[in-house]
Amino acid sequence: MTCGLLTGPLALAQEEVYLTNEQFVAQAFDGAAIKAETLWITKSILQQVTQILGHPPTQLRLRFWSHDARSAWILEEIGKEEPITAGFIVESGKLKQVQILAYRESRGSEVRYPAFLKQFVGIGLNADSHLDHKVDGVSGATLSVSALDRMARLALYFDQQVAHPKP
Amino acid sequence: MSHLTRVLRFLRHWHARIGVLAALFFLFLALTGLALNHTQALSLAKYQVSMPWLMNWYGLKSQIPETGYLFPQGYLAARHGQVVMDGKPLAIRDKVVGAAEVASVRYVATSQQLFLYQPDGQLVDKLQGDALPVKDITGLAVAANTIIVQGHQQSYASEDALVWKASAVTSESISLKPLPVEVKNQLQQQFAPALPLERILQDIHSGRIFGQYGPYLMDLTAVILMALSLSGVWIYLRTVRRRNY
Repeated sequence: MTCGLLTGPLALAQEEVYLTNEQFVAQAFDGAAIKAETLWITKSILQQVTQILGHPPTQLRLRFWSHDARSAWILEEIGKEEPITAGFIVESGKLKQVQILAYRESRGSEVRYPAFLKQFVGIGLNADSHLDHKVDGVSGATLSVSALDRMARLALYFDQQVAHPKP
Repeated sequence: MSHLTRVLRFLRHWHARIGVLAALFFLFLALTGLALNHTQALSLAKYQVSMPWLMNWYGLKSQIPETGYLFPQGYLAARHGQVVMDGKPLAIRDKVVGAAEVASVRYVATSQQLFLYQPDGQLVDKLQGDALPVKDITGLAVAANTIIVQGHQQSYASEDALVWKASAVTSESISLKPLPVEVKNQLQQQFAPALPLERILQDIHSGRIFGQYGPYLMDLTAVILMALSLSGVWIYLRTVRRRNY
């Protein structure tokens, strides 16, 4: 006997894709074809990455795109239960644009709206790897906001690393 | 005995009895409500409950895969959106179309993504979209220490999954193999059904866990609670007034 609560396979989280990775990169460089480069999470940056994220990085290498003083990063971080995919454009050490590329949580997708994301524009990283300006949260999306904060800090940190690579 | 006294006595009598009878349901409501109010702080969504009798009640059954991909020192097994490598779950939801180990890197492919893992399970990279040499991966093959990603029309080979070259090598796709018995025994736990604790508490709180009519039972509990509150206030006011007189 069952209570009949589940009549089929458990529903997986719904994924909403707002922009593909390719569309984001194309937008970041005004349509110019920029070749992807690779950043390895080496021992020299692992500690800082872990400190920013609050956990070890999920993967050991990632792709990025850069041209002149601009770099573009596509990062993923778990909000409440599911990963949020976000794109970050960094120019001269400051965030130029932040976009949610894919959202998979059942709640909190308000973070994708420009009204929230535009707060990140012009923000940089201070000496202790935190954002140098406060970002106001969104009620009911605390964990998503926190994940975006971590990813923004990471994008800025990675930009510093590729601009001034450590030996 | 005045009419009012009779009413008061009647109300007290049933107020107490109904209160005791409904106490268990009130406790369910209050405790689950308290917990759900702090679901983030308590990380209720992260705890997975897999008690066999409860999963049976939900109609969920364990389904151990019979076949998987075998590595020199390990395996990968997948079923219904769950992928396990050497006893550890991987964050892969889509159907696996191939898995192979080359030069101590394990490649796991779905039709749209290619994952690279170290043998200890650490994710090295995840490739999708333009990072992949084909739009739709149909399988993986191995030749001369390179991984070959197969598409419908063309295959591509790489030593590091960064630089891809068209491959004319016609290697057979890596295929599923029967899993050894000891591996299947190991997978009993991984493929046991589970639900987040938050979900179970929500079902108790709403009454859904008691079946089709469970929510009505909880509705009745809520109505009884309201009635008890009102009768309790009325009894109190009447009792105080009587004392004052």
